[in-house]
Amino acid sequence: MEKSLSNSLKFILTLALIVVIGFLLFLANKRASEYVILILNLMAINMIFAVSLTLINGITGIFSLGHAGFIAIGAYVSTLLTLPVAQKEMTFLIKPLIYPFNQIQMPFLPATLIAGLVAAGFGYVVAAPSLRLIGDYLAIATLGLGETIRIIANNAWSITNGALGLKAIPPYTNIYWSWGWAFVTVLVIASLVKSSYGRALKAIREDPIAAKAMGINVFSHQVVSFVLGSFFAGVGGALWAHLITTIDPKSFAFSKTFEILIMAVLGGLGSISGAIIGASIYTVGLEFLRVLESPFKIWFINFPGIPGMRMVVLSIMLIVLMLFWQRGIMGRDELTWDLIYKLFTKSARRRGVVDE
Amino acid sequence: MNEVLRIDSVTKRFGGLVAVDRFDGYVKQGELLGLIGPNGAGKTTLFNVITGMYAPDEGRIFFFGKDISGFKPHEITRFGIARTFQNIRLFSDMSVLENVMVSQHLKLRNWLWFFKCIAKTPDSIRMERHMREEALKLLKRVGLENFANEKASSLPYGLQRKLEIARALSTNPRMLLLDEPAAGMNPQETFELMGFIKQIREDFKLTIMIIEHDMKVIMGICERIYVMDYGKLIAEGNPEQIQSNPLVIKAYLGEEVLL
Amino acid sequence: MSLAGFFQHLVNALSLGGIYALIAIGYTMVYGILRLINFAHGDVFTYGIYFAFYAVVLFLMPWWVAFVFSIFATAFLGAFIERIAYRPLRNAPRISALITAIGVSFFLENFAIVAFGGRAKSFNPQTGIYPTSFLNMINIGGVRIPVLTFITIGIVIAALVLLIWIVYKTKIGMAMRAISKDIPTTKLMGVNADRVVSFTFMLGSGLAAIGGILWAMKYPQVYPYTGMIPGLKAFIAAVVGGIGSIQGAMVGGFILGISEIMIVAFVPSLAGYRDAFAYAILLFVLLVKPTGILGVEVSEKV
Repeated sequence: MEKSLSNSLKFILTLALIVVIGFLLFLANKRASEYVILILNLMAINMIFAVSLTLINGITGIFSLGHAGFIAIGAYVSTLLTLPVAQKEMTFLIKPLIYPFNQIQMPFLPATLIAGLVAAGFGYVVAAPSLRLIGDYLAIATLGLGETIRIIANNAWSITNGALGLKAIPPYTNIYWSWGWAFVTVLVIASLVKSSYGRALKAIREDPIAAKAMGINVFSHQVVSFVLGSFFAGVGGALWAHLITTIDPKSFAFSKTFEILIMAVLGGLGSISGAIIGASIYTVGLEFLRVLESPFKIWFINFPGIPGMRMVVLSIMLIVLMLFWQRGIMGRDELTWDLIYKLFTKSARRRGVVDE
Repeated sequence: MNEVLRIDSVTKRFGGLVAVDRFDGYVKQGELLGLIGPNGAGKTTLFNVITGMYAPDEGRIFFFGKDISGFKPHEITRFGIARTFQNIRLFSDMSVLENVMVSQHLKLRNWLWFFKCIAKTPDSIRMERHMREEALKLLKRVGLENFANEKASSLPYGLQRKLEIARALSTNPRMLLLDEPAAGMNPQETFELMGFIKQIREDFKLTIMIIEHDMKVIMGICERIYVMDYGKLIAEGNPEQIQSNPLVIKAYLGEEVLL
Repeated sequence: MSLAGFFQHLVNALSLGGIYALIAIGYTMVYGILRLINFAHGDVFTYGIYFAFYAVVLFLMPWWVAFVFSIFATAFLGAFIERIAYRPLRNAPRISALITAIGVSFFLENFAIVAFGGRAKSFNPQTGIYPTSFLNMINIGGVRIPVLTFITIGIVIAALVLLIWIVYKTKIGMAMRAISKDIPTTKLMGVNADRVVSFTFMLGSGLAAIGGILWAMKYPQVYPYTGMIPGLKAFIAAVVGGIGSIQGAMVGGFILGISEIMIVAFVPSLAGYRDAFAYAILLFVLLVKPTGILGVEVSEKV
């Protein structure tokens, strides 16, 4: 029997962790540079993207490649709701914005919620036909779906302002919104996964036929997982739009889904804590790689900066990751206090500090 | 006669191939019924039709008098029919305990539980604890409680087969369909399995139907046997009758028959 | 629309469909033997164009030499990718191979940005890339159609005939077909699976190069993302026709090319959505018959 920490101890540790993170964020918000704050916001938003994708792809086993489409829906819906009416009139030059959007302006929170719900609604509508397909076909269909949403966004001038996109989006996203929503996302999804529903979803991932034989309505559970994941993708999209303040259909091409996939796979597809870790490393790592794009020195060798080198290195890293380390950092396991305790005592035991 | 299952002239086709051909049969309460036949005779297909994986093209299936033809697999499980699979279909990445807990998800009857579970309300926590206890109780009854936290795929083959059966039992079935439970087992394991099957019939008050190629098992524990060939029912009887039936011997000609 | 106009669109559609068919075959062959969606195939198509371009502009080869060079260079590129990125993952879960394929695609695109520059390069005959005579117009019943269109159709047909011959009349073609059914058994029969797989990639990539050159002559520009949309459409064509089936890829390619041109011809206001037609066809086919028009049903044994 392994020693594990008591539940109350774990609860206190988690609470303490949240307090510490909250405090650090508070400090960062007050003292850190704009650049650092931008990165922190991006990190939180990427966490939301990665965790929501992990729910669908990693936990339930639905190989969906259309995540960018739901992010786009969230971004556009929320923006159309928060842009001041006057701004909308100025921006929609080719064709005026349709009713009722051209008359509405609402605060950030309801706009974000509605954005999430609309994305979830779309998820519900496309789930039914798509989930009849398996494996590769599902991947292709969802890829096509995401792309279709982008093309529609590019052409529906009276709704999305087409290829011109939307600009001067009110920069509502701050540390509290982004990390707050990230916290909610993780809380809800983790709580779901640690329940009977989580077991049902994982069973569906492992073997849908056996899951059916165990009395699980596979289809309805897949739909729920897909819809929930799409909801948070939409929320993340809303946060993202209000961070970068301009959006256009190009931002939601397949490369966006691909980036989120990298985050999830890096952290371990099938692990929520893995998704969080993967998103963090990716966000920070991408910034570090930016270094490659302007001239830099290693020892006495001058390297010219090559724009675009970042993505080259990134793609090589992904290939290497898949060739040598498929399971990613956490694999399918979660980072729990028990795990940390085990690792800590294992190394302590090895160093002869703690008795067996 | 207390009929648990009635199979009424069921036919199942795949394109031009008739996998099950006007099969007529029944299973009595508490019976241990064997289903044998050469490879490709349609035995597993029949199981699949009974459990709702396929809908019958013709004919009907009655369970305790209720017409269950065409219902979906998860619904049929809820009615009380459980099955194991020819190829082990355990949830390999999940623990042994989790494997037998999955079926308890049935107990969450409506989608209100979805929100309760996320919010971790007191009754959802109580339900989770209850599920865990029930699963552990089951593992104890079948002798697998020491492996509760092991990953299902790490178990030795014989125990994996046992877990398959335990998982089916966790759905609280009234009838159990076992598809080649002795496949790949050595004589010792097979002997233990035979005892195990008889035991669970007693303990869980089950009616059991078994597909098997290992004749030791069939002749050893089955009270009645159906023989299928090319989708059709070609013989029915107790072990002595079947063993001396010329049609059966002809169907198996060329196949190694373990007696 | 006049009959002549219709004919013009039709010929155009056939040439476009033919190009899609050439690319689609590459996708379908790889899926048939490895069950892998080779996301990088569209980028191999792009590199085929780049190879031809640089062969003329940098190495000063005559255009037809450059084209042949490009076909071989691209074929080797395809085989190289398979060797490095896909072969090690042959027994890995499918999602890993898929992610790797996406990674390779990303790499090729971004490497092209770094190595060739992100700006589009012009593929026009003035630079000697192909004879200007290709752009001569032929007058048929009052409609002017460039010679190139007919050359394209001709080359496509020649390539398809050559492919069919290879697949059905040669030993290695037979090995390819056998492997697509069952790799372990085929290996037991003494077939060197690795070599056959490499050959399949080379064949598909070579066809993609031909398609790429034909494409670049038609739409005279090359930039790192040239192959992305045609690649995606060709992939959809393969799925629509029945992924794993070479005839299916051909059928799918023509269906996609024809629908793309014809729909815009009849309903010009939908021009902006022209790329979405392919997805619409895809979704329709996936809902009605996911295995595609000529596809084979594969059911899971319960």
